Amino acid sequence: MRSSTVLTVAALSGVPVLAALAFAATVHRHPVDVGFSESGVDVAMHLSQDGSKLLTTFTPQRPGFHLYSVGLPADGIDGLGRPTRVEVAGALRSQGPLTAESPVRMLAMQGTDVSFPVYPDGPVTTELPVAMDSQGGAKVLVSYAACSPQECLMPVSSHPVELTATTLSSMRG
Amino acid sequence: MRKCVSLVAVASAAVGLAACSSPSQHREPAGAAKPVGAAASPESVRAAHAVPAAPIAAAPVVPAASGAVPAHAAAAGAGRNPQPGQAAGQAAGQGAAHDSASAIGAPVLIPSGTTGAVPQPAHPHAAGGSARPAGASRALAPALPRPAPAPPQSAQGTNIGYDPNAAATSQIMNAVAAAQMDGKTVLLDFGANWCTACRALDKAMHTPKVRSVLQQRYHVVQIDLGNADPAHMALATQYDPLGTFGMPLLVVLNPDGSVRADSARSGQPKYTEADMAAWLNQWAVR
Repeated sequence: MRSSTVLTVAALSGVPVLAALAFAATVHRHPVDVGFSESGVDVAMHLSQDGSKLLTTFTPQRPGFHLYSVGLPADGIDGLGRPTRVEVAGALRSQGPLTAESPVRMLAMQGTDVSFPVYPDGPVTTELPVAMDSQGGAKVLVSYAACSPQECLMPVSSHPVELTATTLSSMRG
Repeated sequence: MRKCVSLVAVASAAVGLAACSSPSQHREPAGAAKPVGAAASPESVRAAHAVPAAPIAAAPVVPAASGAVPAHAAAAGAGRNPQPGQAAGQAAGQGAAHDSASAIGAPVLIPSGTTGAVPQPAHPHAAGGSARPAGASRALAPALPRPAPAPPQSAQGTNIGYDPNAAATSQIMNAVAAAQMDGKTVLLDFGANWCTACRALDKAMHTPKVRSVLQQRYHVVQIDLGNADPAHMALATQYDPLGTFGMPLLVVLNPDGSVRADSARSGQPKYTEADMAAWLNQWAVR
């Protein structure tokens, strides 16, 4: 068999395989999480498959730490506590209130009769209904504070996350 | 003719390879820097950090503190937020305490009347801002999101006592100067008025036993970190240079200003009357 024939057969047999791989990659896309780490919390966000929800997961790096409810007022309760916030601008527009998938629990503050709405220790994922423009980048502002009964880490206020159009596209599941 | 067919086939295979490799390139975000998991954990950083905290003498004086307060004034309260332990006139070393502590910090020179500009280092928790991929996708629980409940009301006060406008460096110097005169220990309490753990500490510090220990053995200075004041953050970072501390950060100073203990390394005391009093007695100068 001539070498040219071998090349021909090899090439022709490889085309369907490569095409199938390309198809699979197109159909089964994994959303890319975009995020940052600050003040003892890892923050990762991506969009739902239809692009209608911005899902942000907050993961305290140390055990025993919790985040405050998204429903906490901006200045906390009597000045105590800081809410979890996710705000969008640019190509992403908020279409509803921020919610969380984790149930809120009331944490009694040591030595007082005050209790605060917090999420269970560990990761919590928030959902923000969004609409996405076809072009342009977006900015997400993230705020939170992580505390344990014994200590609070430095709060993060309006940490900006710049998202290019390419990044937005890759964040969709 | 055969050669032509072969060339066409090879070319088509090459095109197919290129088509398959392109999707992965699209997934790379423009602002990619590093994965989330690449950040060093506070535990690992702290474990590797064995150097005692820098003494206060390393800090230039806050300009606002240029109006030097006489050293003896600190004995009557080293700041605008008088604490139970700031009353003057109590001899150091009183009270039944076991003194198992030893100084872990270098001696400190107390600047006298010097003034200068405080360096404005980058806030250790300043926002980075660039987006980066965080690795694999995450599976979310199928539960429907639920709106957060309305926060409860309470009748607690709103201010613990951390004064964002206080001249912290001057207050610390005054407290150390007072400690040099009366032999007491200096307690630095870095915290914030929004910090729930700081409120719990504040409650404990106002209990009878703790008040007694503070009054007899300590000069207390509260430093506000709630407004990310660069000068105050720089002070706190001196005692935990990697900025991995939580609030409240309690730092105990010897009368010479050297660091005797700090909660970032020794661990936070429990904020009960008994535990807090025991912690203070443990670290107080005999």
